[in-house]
Amino acid sequence: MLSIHLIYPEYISDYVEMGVDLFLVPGELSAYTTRHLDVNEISSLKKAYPDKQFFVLVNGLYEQHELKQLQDYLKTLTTTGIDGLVFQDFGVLYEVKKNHYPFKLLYESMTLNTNHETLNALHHYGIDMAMVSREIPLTEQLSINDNAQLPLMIQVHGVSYMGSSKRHLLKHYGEALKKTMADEVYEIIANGSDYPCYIFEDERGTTIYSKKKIYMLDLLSHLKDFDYLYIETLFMDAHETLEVISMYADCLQALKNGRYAQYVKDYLPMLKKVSQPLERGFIEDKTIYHLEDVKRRDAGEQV
Amino acid sequence: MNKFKKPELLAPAGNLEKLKTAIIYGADAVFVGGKEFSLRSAASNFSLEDIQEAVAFANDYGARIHVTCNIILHEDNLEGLREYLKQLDDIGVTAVIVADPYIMTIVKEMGLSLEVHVSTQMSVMNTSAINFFKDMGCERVVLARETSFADLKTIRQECPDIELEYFIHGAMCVNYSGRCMLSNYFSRRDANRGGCSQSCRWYYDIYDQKGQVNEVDGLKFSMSSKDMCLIDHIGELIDLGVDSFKIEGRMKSLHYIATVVSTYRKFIDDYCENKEKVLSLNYKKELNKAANRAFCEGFYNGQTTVDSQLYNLRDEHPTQEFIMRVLDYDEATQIATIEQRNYFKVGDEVEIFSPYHDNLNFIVTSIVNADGEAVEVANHPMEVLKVYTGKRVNRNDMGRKVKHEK
Ligand code: SF4
Repeated sequence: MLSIHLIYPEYISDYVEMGVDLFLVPGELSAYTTRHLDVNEISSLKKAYPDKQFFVLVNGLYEQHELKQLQDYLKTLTTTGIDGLVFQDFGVLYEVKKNHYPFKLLYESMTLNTNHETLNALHHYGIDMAMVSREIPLTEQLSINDNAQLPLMIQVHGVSYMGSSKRHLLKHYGEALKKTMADEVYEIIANGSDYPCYIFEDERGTTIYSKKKIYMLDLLSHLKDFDYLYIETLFMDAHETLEVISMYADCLQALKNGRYAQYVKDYLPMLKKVSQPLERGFIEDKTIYHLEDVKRRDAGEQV
Repeated sequence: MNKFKKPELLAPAGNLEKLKTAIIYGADAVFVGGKEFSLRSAASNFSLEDIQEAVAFANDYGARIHVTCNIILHEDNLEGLREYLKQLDDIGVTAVIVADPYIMTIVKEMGLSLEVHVSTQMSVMNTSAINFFKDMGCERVVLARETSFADLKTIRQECPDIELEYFIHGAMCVNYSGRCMLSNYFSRRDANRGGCSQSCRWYYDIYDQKGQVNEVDGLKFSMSSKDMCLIDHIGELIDLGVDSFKIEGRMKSLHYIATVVSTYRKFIDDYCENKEKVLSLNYKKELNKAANRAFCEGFYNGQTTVDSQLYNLRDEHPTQEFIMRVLDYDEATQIATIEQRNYFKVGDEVEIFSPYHDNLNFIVTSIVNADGEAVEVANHPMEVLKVYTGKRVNRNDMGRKVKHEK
């Protein structure tokens, strides 16, 4: 099933027509997103498309003084008819279970879902679905999917989350520089690196995303056992979003009727034009962590 | 009179020497990393034999050993985990510090007597999350560094029957722990498995819609944070009933461990003996001697400010020089046998600090090497020398060079 981050709800009829089944909806308590829909907007979406699945992003790490607000918000969401929540704070899971709320729980820890045993253990504690980490090779993503006892989602396209801070890093920098940092989004490039990132601030703090978007249009045949394929639409304009979704939807369709190879051949050059800059992320790339491996790699050896 | 429940003082150690020093200087518990399942897998981790020795040493002092098993497991890290946990349990380790919920579940499932402490990598900041981990059987939660004192107060009131551990001193990740992938993307080094390349401390050029915001030679963007120091708030944290005070820094030097542990030890003991006593003493000055970055108070008051950030490497000042460790002292001659740790010479002023007595100073008037020859300079690392102190010092005391401002 195709799923997307619903940044442009005004285009939802197009998305539905293209075959998107599940929407991750940014709500009032969502983190790491540039759009926030209120409860009425969320309600109306579900009413208009009752057969589609809507999961609201309640994906922040919540502080004690925000807990009451979180509890009230979860209660209010029960009136909207939404299907589930995307979360990473186990306080959300605890509240949902304690109150017997009817939400399915999609565990998106941003970075931590890197093995199947952990997901199976958490399934026992109440998670229903999970997003597989982006920072591991495809072989490991597939191994997790083979061994996990719950439905999994994998990101197939879009920018990657890189980090988040409670600090207002842009505001602080502006103060140090004696400049107002008024833009919604900035770009940073580390000295000595050629890897640009987006950085933005909201009341929850600062978030960093890669500017490069991962793409897996030509790898969909490997991913057919995943329950959900996810397109991250952040930092795409409405047009790019439509184009990208349509290409993935068509290729998924082509997988079923045996014309996938032809579609990939036609669409891949188009995708590379429409959705720039692209990268493979960690699909073929393992991270290292032992000092000996770092030294060997820096000396140009294979690790 | 002791009217307060004394919190545990929990210190880091990157090797056995540091661990023993931390305990001698007053730590109630020490956390160490194992070879495989710990962050900082890169270096300074303990083999099972080391951990065994650590537990035996700690037992002699009534101290406890916590072992970090806080990596986020990948598919190829799953093997050997159960055996490893069983071995830690057999050795007599008190607790494992765990980030991955799978490890939490198997410690309980295996019926081990190891306590499970939820690592700060889980970024726990609210009572509902704490209750989730409590229901899993975890004995302690290490709160996220982002937790303010006001929130901590509510959490303590609402969660009286789970242990709370709170960071009081050390370096700070600028991002939420466990949720930072900067190093993974920039260097392909996995931050959640101990390989972080500290990318948050790098310099960045920053751009808005119109172009580069920072001037080419001007102040670069950086996310680097000053280090946390909560010495000014330890009293209210004791009053609140926080169970454990955590000092960060498994990669830090012996001098750092000794200075920081002994200063907090003294503060806690002094405060619990008499609240007024701590008002007159300058504990922060002592901590500064082992600091290599400026201090801030992190999120203690809710949010950080521009003053919590480091935009300039010049703000990272070097530590006061650690020059000697006392191995022995001869009362009759007032001569100490010492192990050299950094260059010093006749004429230098030395400050001795100790787990047993207040700091004292002396001027180096004579240095004698192992062959009995008088030398002017001590410039061989770890060389055993005899130095006239003129004052009583003790085994395990340490000496730092006094720097006089010009
Ligand atoms: S890059 Fe910085 S914030 Fe991120 S894990 Fe490393 S030290 Fe922490």
